[in-house]
Amino acid sequence: MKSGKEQTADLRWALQKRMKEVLGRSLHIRHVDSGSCNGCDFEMNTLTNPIYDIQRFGVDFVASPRHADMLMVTGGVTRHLEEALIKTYNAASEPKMVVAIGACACSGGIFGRTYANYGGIDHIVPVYVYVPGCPPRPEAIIEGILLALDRYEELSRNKGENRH
Amino acid sequence: MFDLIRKIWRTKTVTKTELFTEAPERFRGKPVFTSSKCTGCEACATSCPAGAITLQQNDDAITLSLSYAHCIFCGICAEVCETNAIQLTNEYRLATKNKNELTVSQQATLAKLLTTGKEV
Amino acid sequence: MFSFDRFRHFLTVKTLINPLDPTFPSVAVQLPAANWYEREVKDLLGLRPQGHPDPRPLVLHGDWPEDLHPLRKDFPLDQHAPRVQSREAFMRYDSEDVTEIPVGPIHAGIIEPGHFRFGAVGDTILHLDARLFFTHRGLEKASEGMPVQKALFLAERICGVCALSHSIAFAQAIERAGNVTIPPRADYLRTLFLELERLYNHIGDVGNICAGFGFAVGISQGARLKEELQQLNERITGHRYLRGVVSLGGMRADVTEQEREDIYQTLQYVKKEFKELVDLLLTHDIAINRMATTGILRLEHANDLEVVGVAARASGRSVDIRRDQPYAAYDRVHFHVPVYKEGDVLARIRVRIDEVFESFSIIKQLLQQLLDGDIRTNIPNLTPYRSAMGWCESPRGETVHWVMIGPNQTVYRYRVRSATYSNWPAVPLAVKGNIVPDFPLINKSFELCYACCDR
Repeated sequence: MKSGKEQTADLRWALQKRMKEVLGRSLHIRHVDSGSCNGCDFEMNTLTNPIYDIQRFGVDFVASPRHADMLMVTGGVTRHLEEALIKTYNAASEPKMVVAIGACACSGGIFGRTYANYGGIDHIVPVYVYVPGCPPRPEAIIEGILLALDRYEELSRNKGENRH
Repeated sequence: MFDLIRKIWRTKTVTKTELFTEAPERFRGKPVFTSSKCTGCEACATSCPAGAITLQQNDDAITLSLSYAHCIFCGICAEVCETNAIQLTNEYRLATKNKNELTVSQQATLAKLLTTGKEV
Repeated sequence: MFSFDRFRHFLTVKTLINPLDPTFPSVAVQLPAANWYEREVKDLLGLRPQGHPDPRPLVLHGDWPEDLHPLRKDFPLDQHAPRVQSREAFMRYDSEDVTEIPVGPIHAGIIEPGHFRFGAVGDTILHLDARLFFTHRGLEKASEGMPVQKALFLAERICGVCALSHSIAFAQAIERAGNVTIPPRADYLRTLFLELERLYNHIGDVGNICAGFGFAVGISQGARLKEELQQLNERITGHRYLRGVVSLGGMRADVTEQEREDIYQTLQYVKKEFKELVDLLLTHDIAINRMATTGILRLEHANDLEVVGVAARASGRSVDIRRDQPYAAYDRVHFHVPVYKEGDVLARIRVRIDEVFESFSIIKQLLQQLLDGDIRTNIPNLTPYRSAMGWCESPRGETVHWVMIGPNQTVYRYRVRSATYSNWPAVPLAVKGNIVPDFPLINKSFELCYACCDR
């Protein structure tokens, strides 16, 4: 059993260690707003501020889905953004890891299903990690990123199995 | 130019060195349900704005399911619950790979309902 | 439709429309501000403005069937409409010298979706077509039939960063419909939290504007102070964006003596740091050079389009609903409404900077005056089909909510006019004649949220 202090020290470096282990160097994220209230978007922006400074772990937000390892989607997919989300998803590089940020992306949240809103992005694209919250705290988003890294391990393990 | 450098120098490092620190006491995070306290009044389910809580009553048991995927963490459920069977904690780490994990269900038996003095 | 004047009175214009021939004479030519409203009722309700100069769809995009109107009562909330041949149209240019530059709806940064089509001659913008309403979620329809208590949380989620302004505007509308007077302490608390919302927004915006010209120190310092304020919000209310603090008939969150001290101390620190940031920014030649005379919104345009908020005050239009139609405890505190005449990016930033210092002073007064007592009253049974309005000066300008009560304490009809909705039509006018690379800077200086506008 680890003492509390040791555990926080572990957590502190957990992200960086995992990042190195799994990806070798860095993780590039593309944000897609599929119709959120912009609360989640602002929390993602917060991650790049000097307090959280997620770039120190090698995580960065990039301008194009073509450069991205991961898509972070906020909002419950509006009718007007369905096409944009699908196009972005198709443009992203494999393994097209999608992380749903916030209640709207996870389930439609309070808006639910309306004539203009699909209520959850998993109706449109496959989702790998769900991060609930309205909006989730910046640290909850970091946890989501950490969890999503498992995907790379799974994939490389699968590749290894296929080879045998 | 020098004033910029002076400002940077004086601000020093502000970056958080510890991740996943505890949220403030007032923070409204993960709602938890204590089945032994529940009277089955359904106040939480009817007042939840996002429809995250459902209560199912059978003859001898009551099942409450709570969906963190729908939850907007407003805390109305805790406010309307007279027996404090549902309370919001400051836990915010809820991310998961499996959507089913976001829905938690708990059963309370009728015996418990009777001891709290309420019949179904 | 409603309009109001500056003498603390509202004037509602009502007109009856024949259900068999749902048309009405358009006033958009005489009153350019009515342009969007008329296009919106055409889309959502199928009421056709006769003689409107712009037949394009607005809220619903071109692939929505023309004869389906979601806000009509016979349209079920979750009905799926088929996609039809798009009726979308953008400005066409005959000259080969004009380059069309389409941008969006997904942008390079972490920002909200909107589609912009620039018609540019070389680097200079000749015309801008902005296609918005990508985040239209059908929120007003979703609220219909919802109990008013739940609809409050829906109103709060119209926008992430003006959440409190929206919830207070909605709560005021319901309280007015039920003739409820909220306890004085709740009035003070509402004002206090509203100013905290303005602070984190304005300080964040001042920092963010530095991103428009790559001034990294400014970006970091602004973001740092914004985070400081959001952490304060979280400590005293449990939410970084001040959600869930208002209830119908008062407040849910109270501040203790200890928290009062916390607010005071934090703001003292932020004020000192912000002053240093402002001194750096306003004495930085490159920053001033980029901001001055960029993106000028002329007073005539601001008046014609009824622009509100920071953008209006930077163009010499002195409007501030906190002063003009006081609500909460704004009639019990002293504050000054900054007005600049230049109408450029710099003026908009100066308005924000001045307002930040006004907010510090308002909060100081509030903390001294804060009365003891209840923070909440009950809402009586509301009379069905009564309508009422609530308003609030959000960080972006005045936000107006109109609600009609339905049977059993539900919402029958709901209309939200956010500050962004009034200000968007002014942005294409302000960017004309500027260079394309300045667009992000101009857009940031207006700081309009799309979610507020699109609903």
